[in-house]
Amino acid sequence: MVLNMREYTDRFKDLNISIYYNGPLWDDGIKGIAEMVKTSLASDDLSSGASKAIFSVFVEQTTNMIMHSAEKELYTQLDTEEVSTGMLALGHKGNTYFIQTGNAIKSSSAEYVKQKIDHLNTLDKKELRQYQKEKMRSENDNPDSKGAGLGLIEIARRVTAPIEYTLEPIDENMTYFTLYVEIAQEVKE
Amino acid sequence: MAFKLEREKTKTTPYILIDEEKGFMRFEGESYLEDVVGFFMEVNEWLEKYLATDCAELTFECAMEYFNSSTTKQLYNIMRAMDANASDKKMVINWIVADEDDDMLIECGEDYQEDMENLEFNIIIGNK
Repeated sequence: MVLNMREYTDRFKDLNISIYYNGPLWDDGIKGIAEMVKTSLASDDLSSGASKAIFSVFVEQTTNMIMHSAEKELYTQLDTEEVSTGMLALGHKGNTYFIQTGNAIKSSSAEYVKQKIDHLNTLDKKELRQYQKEKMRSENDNPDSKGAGLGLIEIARRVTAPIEYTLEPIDENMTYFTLYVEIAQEVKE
Repeated sequence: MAFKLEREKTKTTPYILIDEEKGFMRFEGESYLEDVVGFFMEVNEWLEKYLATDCAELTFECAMEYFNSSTTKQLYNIMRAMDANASDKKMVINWIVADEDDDMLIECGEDYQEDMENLEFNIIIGNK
């Protein structure tokens, strides 16, 4: 069956989404998309600080998905063999950029994610900076994570509105995690 | 033989120079979407051995433009290891920020600086 791709394209346009990806995610595989995002931000009329902040949020959230997505595909030609899957969408409405991602996580991690984001949303920029510094000194408190545990804090520092998310049970083992963040563009001086 | 390492940068990994004879280390470029723990392994192994020698002196020039949060932690560990040796050895970190408007990098340098107890930490802005 031929899908009417134009309908999808129009729909994304309506939603102000300029880059959309859904599929397997691994470090080397995602580098091309990172390059695309970087180039696309560079061609927009952004201050260097704003484009760096947006790129940083993109990198941290993509890395989170690579590390924590509970939905895997088998890729025997890669060393890791199991590859995370997820979706990401990036766009801007006027001078507000947004990044939206979706992926399955283990239901056992859902409460951790919820508490972590809710907590980050209560902190102001100064407190976030302090919190990130404390976390940098200590070991990661999430036993499921191989990362430094700093990604979400970095995201919270760069966004200009509270982090929005939904956690929707898929079955007893998996929960679908959607994350939405905004970065309002700084006006160029 | 004094240890020497020079690694060309890629889009997602930094240029790294270690010149043990001169007591000098420099990083440039970017670091993200990589196994950063694996990437910095060789640096960390050398650093540990070198810092254990009596005459170790080290100037670390960090002129990176962008790096992800796991790299932040790797850099922190390198700096802490230097700082732990700075009471009796000359340890200097030069945090180089090319763009004076780059608040992200400047703040990051300030945060590192605040955590160092003994070493000399300079933040150099607007100079490549």
